[in-house]
Amino acid sequence: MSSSRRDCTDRSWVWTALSVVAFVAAMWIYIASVMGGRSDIHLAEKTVHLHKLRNIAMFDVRSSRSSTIDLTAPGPTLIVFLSGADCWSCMGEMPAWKQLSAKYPPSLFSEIFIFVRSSTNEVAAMPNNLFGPDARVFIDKTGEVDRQLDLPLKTPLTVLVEGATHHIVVAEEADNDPQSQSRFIASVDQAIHSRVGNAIEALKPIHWLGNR
Amino acid sequence: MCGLVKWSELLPLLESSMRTLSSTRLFTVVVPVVCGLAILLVPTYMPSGKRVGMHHGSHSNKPDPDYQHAISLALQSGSEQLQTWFTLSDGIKLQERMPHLTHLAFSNPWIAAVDIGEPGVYLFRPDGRLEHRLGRPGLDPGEYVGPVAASFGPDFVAVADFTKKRVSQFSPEGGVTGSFVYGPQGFSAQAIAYDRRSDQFFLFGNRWPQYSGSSSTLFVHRYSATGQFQGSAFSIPARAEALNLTSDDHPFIEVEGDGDPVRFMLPWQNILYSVSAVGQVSVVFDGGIDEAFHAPSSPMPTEDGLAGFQRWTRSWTPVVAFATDGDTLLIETECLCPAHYRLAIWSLSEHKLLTSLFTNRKLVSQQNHSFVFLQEPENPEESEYELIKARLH
Repeated sequence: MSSSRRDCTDRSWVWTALSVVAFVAAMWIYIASVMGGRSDIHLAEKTVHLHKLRNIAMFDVRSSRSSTIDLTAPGPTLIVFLSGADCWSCMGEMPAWKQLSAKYPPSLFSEIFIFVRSSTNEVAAMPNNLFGPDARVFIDKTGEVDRQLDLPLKTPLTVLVEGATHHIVVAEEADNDPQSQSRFIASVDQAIHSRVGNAIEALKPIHWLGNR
Repeated sequence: MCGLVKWSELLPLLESSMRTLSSTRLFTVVVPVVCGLAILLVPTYMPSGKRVGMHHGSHSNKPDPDYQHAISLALQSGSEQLQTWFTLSDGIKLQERMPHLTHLAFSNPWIAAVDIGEPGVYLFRPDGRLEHRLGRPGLDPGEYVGPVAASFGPDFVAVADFTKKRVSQFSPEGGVTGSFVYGPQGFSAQAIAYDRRSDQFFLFGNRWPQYSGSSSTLFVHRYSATGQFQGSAFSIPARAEALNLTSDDHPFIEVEGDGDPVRFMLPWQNILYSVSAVGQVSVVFDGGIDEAFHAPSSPMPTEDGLAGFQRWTRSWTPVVAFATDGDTLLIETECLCPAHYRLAIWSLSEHKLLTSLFTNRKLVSQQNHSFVFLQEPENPEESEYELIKARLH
């Protein structure tokens, strides 16, 4: 009798444990899907799974090594997916991104350029000084970024990501219209300024002292 | 214009055929220009057929109603005078279906054919049998969306993609051996030439000032063998720009022979240019004395789509091909007569027009002192192309 009661008690404990594990797993899946969903890019005709980016190793042009992307920067991060073959249309925006990198301190704003569907030779043939000195440039040599994120056929795809939360602030598909490009650049600039403007004000005296 | 006085007496009867004859610039003018319009000016389509981003323009790609009839009529009524000056060989049929053949390149023993319609690049043996299909449609290096032209190097075939602004290189065995992009220079290549003397590429296409930031329209672009941009040259003449001819700039080039410079002609000038190894462009020959050549005098229409373009092309005689062999220069133009083309045979040293004749065969190249002509299919849907070698008597 006592042994059967013990068995019953044991069984309850197992069921309780399983329930807790199932609850935790469900919550984890739910939170992951919500967080992942927030860091995905919902375009007109498809969703780009940006949250998968952090797990993919790419060739880092500046360090000449394979590495993954660190998206834990405190400030907003501009990520541009581009192909050398499409970059006749990206050339209109590139000077603006370079200006933004000069406008905001690298501690508050960062830029990442990811070449997809491009060979190392094609990237090397891009014009000199296309990127700001602090920009990180990667090449998706294996095609994993293109496949896993499900990028649109035409690039550039440009997205501003909130640093701490990985939320998408603004995103733009390839657009050849100079006026649309200008509007998007202005919206990116505005979004960055609204997030880091106060921090820049706080840094000004330091810069001033440093300059002296 | 060829036979203009004679034919003008029969003008009322021939009006419809003359109208449609000039609508048959399928191979060299219509296809590149329509592709250019379709890709650049009107909505941009991705390979999947999905429309991206741009607005519909007012252009229509509906051809002139008599278009197909015109091709058939020209082929049936065309006079063939090649035999009077040339010894013709048996034809070689290219054994692959190519709906929109845009360019042929030769390098002994290979023949490369470029089809933009169902994008494909094909390497043929001298007897016309298919050796390989080079590359495939796609977005990665070694793939293409809008291949327009090919050029042979010592151990590769380079293919220029009009749409993706990329040059991909293939080995004769079919493997991808390299690639580079030219999009940052802000133009779309209509032709490519690999220059063996200087080990570099020349790409031909006018620049889009809105993307390049340049105020001039430059046409010849030079790249190292590894794809590093070296420089651009040759402004499109102001008169041509005024007539909107920058949209009709498909060049005809010649790169045969290790010691020969790259040469090119434009459709609307009877002028042969040469490009030096440092990209300097100079005039080799000016055929201005040929009264049968008519340059356009009115602007290329930007409205009315293909039909409007076809109506406009009736007013002039575009150059569609040229080839040289020693002192002999052949220039082929379209003519308003019941044959597709007028072939002018010149002596370069004497700057003298030796003769002119009419043919339905499209001049393609010069190979081993023989000129190569293309017999286009009577019915475009047959896609059966035949090469004919012709040696001057």
